[in-house]
Amino acid sequence: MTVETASASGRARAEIESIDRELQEAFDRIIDAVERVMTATEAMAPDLTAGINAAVTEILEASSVRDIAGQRLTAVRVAVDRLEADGTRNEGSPERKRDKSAKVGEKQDRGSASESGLLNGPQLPGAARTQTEVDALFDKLD
Amino acid sequence: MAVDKNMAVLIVDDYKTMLRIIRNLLRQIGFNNVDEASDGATALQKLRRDTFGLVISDWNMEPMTGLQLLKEVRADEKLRGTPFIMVTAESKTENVIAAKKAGVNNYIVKPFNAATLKTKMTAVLGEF
Repeated sequence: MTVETASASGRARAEIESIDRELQEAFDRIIDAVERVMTATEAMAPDLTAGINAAVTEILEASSVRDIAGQRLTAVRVAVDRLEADGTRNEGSPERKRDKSAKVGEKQDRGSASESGLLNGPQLPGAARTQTEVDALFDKLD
Repeated sequence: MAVDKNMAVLIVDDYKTMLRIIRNLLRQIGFNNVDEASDGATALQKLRRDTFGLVISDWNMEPMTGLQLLKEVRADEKLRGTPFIMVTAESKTENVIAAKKAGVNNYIVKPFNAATLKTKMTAVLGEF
């Protein structure tokens, strides 16, 4: 691996960590604020809070992007590791190449061996099954 | 039989933001007795220690995944009847099949909305 590749992958990892941390901090603030609104509206008359509750629900729903973004960042981390391993493959001893590749493989195989292939994280837009499609499949399996 | 909204619900996810989102969505529909765990192993400990009327779990967690948790629950004589909803970004056919085969009661794809959560809970628990 060249010095440039090592530097680029190091920078990429630092950027990923920074995005992840900043996202978490932002969503902590968002949910803190939502919870303060929810607590405040509990003391209000129901006819006054319907609109507020609907907005709160919408914010909570939208905030679930934190999870999806986090899983996508994990996928990018794995990709950086793989690119780095590929860069190493053309240099060093055969033992070193095997060792590096094995480490990347380990990272990708989360969970038990029986679940290998089932932990893919979110699909890219357009490739993911919708809730309706999943429901149809789920019902068909009854 | 009417659903007891005071029943304990266990939510399991390794993202604390998701735990807070689901907890607050449950609060909005009247379920306030909510406990949480950040992985399958911790969830299993809580399930064996306390009584829960519903588990809402993510799939992709370490060290024990949601699918492994589901299998442990269904293999445990005392826990096997506990309603279990999987909430996950894993939407491939093989995932749905694996979860169904393991005995999941319903399957929610992330990102989801409050209406879907309520609909799936109703399908599993009955009208509330």
